[in-house]
Amino acid sequence: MFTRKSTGVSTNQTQSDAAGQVCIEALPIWAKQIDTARVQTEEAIVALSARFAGIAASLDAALMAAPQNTGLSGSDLIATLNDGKQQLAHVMNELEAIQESRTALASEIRSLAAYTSELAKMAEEVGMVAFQTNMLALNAAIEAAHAGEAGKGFAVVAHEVRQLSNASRKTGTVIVEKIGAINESLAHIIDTNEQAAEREGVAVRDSCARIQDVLGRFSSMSLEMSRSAEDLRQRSRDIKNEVSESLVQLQFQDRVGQILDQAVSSMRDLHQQAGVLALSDEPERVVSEYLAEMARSYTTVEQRRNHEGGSAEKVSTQAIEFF
Amino acid sequence: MGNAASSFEGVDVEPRHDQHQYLTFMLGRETFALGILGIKEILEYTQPTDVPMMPSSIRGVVNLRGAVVPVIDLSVRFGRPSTPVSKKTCIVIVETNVDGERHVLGVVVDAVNEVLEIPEEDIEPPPSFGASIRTDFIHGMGKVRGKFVIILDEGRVLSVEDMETFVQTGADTVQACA
Repeated sequence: MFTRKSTGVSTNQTQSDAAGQVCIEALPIWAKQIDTARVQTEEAIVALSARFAGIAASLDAALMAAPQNTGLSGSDLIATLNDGKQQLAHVMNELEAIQESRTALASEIRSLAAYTSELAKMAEEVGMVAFQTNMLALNAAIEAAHAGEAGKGFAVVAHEVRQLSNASRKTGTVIVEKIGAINESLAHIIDTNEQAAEREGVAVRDSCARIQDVLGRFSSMSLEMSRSAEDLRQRSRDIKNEVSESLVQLQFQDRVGQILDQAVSSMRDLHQQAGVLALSDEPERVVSEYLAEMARSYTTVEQRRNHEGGSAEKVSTQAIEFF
Repeated sequence: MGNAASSFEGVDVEPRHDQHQYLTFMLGRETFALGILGIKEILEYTQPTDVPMMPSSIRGVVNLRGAVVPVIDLSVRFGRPSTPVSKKTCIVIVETNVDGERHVLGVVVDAVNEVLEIPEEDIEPPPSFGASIRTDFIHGMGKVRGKFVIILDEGRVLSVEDMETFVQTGADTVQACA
């Protein structure tokens, strides 16, 4: 590979030549090791980034799809609830109308009762007339009796009048009875009506309370659901942001790759040029030229700093967090 | 006279002879009868004007077309408490002829029933005991539709003297009769 100078070489020179030779021999091996590390790191980081990007995309998709998935957005829920309340109000109105018609019926029946009491009074008057007619007939009979034979015809008349008054009295009594029956019937109807109205009122209020209860529970449940959905969305957004940030952080790999890559190239280059450099007459000039050449291929701030003898600190100002 | 022998079928048969005709009326729950010859007319009840110092059986007087007619409470006359006035209460105006004197009196009854004929054979003599009123008040017991009505002797019942003396003896006599 290269020839060793045989004349005037000191022990130091030999030692340094040996060291140099070891370095030269080792250079390609080092280069390969470093390159392997670089490649592996790069591959791993790329895979990791891909995974994070995938997570971010999934979260994005989930956030987009969320409103559709829950089936109802907040405004839909409110609309449904209002519809339910409207239906309830409608039912209540219907039932109130029924109650009103019952009340109207009851008052109509009561006015009927007023009529029947008038009829009863008139029937009583009929009875009075019958009574007085009876009295008249009796007096007539008395007169007829006093008149003896001459009064016989009159007695007949008186008798007939009495018959008539009896008939009137009986009719009057029947009328009163009928009126009594009607009043009973009316009272019964009013009673039934009121009972039915009472029952209906109870049933209506009960149903109303139940429906309102259900609506209330539905409302609070959907509010809960809505809140937890919103909560989930918020968390998803937070996670997505975290993941995106992490992706940004993983870009460190790019820089590391460049540094390693450059180092590897340098080693390979040196390995190739080693023979040439060894033969040079001005080793110091060759060294500084080579170093300057190497410096020109730097791409990162860390490389330049290291070249100039600064500390190998990290450059980034923020902490890098790894998952 | 009339055909006393003819069968009597009750009120539906027209009354024929005034000698055997009677006016039936109610006093409490009992039916009495007075001969129609003495009866002048029947009036609806009006509140009699109270006259002091009269026997208790006399309720007062009423104005009958200008004439003053004393009114007798028959229940009290029979020693019973006076029955309350109802819408059927009537005053029967009776004319009596006692000792040649004509008296016109009113009699308060609880209700008047009818004028009917009671033939002689349907009249039983008064019972000697067990009647609820003084036996000398009873002219006879008339059979009407299977039941008995007490036919009153108006001469006795409506005798003013008798009423005056009755006041003193009053309750004792009733107790003795009962």
